[in-house]
Amino acid sequence: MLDGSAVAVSAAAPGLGTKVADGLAALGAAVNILDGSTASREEAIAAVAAAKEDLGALSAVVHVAAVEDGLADRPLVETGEDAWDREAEAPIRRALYVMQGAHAAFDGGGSIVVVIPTLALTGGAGLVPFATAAEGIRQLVKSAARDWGREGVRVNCVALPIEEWGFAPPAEHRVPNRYGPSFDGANGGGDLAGAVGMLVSDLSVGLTGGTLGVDRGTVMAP
Amino acid sequence: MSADGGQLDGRTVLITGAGAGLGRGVALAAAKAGAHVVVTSLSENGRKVEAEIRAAGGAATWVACDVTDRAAVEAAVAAAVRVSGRLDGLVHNALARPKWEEDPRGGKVAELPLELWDHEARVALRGAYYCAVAAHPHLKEAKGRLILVSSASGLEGTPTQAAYAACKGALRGMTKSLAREWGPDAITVNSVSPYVTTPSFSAWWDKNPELKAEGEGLTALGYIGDPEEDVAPAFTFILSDAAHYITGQTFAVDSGRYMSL
Repeated sequence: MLDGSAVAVSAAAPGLGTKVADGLAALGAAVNILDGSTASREEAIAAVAAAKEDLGALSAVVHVAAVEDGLADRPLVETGEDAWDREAEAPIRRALYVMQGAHAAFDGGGSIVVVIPTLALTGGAGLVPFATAAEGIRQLVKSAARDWGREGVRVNCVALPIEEWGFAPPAEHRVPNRYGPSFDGANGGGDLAGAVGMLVSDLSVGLTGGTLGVDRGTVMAP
Repeated sequence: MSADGGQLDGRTVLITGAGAGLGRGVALAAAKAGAHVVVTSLSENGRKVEAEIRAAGGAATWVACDVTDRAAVEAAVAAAVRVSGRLDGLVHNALARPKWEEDPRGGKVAELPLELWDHEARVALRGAYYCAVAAHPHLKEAKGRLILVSSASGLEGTPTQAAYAACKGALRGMTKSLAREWGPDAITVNSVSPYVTTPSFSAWWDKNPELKAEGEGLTALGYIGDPEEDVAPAFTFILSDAAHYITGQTFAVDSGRYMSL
């Protein structure tokens, strides 16, 4: 599906980033996991530019939203200001910087995919800051999609269950769902790479500003 | 002052950014519905809203409050509890003064600098965090309401105000999550996405009348509403007992501009 594609993966969540990178490589893409910080605009632009140089071209950038130091289930009222910034605001800033880096590096178009938790769609007790970030990132993606579409740059989100970040919410904070997944099977891996790969490829040439839920039909957001 | 049916009689409601525009409209409507309104504003214009409410027979207390200052938010919440012994609702409406026109890098994603991002996020997001944490014990006691003001930009994105759109979207994520987290406390948390005539919009439209017509053309009803008459009644409803079963929602109070759910 991705033969000839050159994809940079921003692995703020290392495990999930590696899973995306391996999956895209299995689909035929040349993949580079960004080396260096993306915590500032300048660093992100430099990191994406270096990846492009390494790959010799750049057709897509995939960013996995994440919280530095990992997730914690905690009531908002017990969330200190540093944690609020780290879990709510910093992930939006980092997504912004990586998107800016991608836009600066593309020659005549490309695809950006941002991986977020389905908490953006459902909300989630105990994870208020990261859910706040996720929905903010989704709107940032739409803004970029509207602005960059005529430059040939498409921007989309893929939404995954929060467990894909290696974090299992306690039972009382799991988002209730009457139906659960609509079919069995391991989420992530091939199905994640397939969805991201489709968004990276020309198969999705008419798709931008969207959110693709890769959760085996659990949320089915309107 | 319960001419509108007294839906909020005996309630105390704190509104941020209530010195003008939508916040003022929500404050006037809540007071008419019987609430004691704690009008907070960055500048002195909130004092005029307080006087306006009192002149009409309502109850209001003005408190100067910069929502980017945690201590100021805590003091405003404490003042609300001091004057009436309770806090039943908090509406976080304060908005950063638009800067995208005066900054040559504009509000577009590609060039959006940290300063512009922070300018929006400090008021919208950090302010919401301060408000929520400070108000929680009082809202819990009152089985109260938290309303976070979002925007159509927080639903559909916008190419020219990327930070604003991201922040307004983030507030919707916060709304859904807090609704789940605070549900056991019987606190409802909702968001309103208004499309409304405000002083800053009016000034913009005076300079660009074609944009007003374009904006009206986005709506099903064909006009962009007045803060007090058209949009604030939805806030009054959410703050009232009648809305006790509704939480985690975004109310698009926008003349039928956004219908894409």
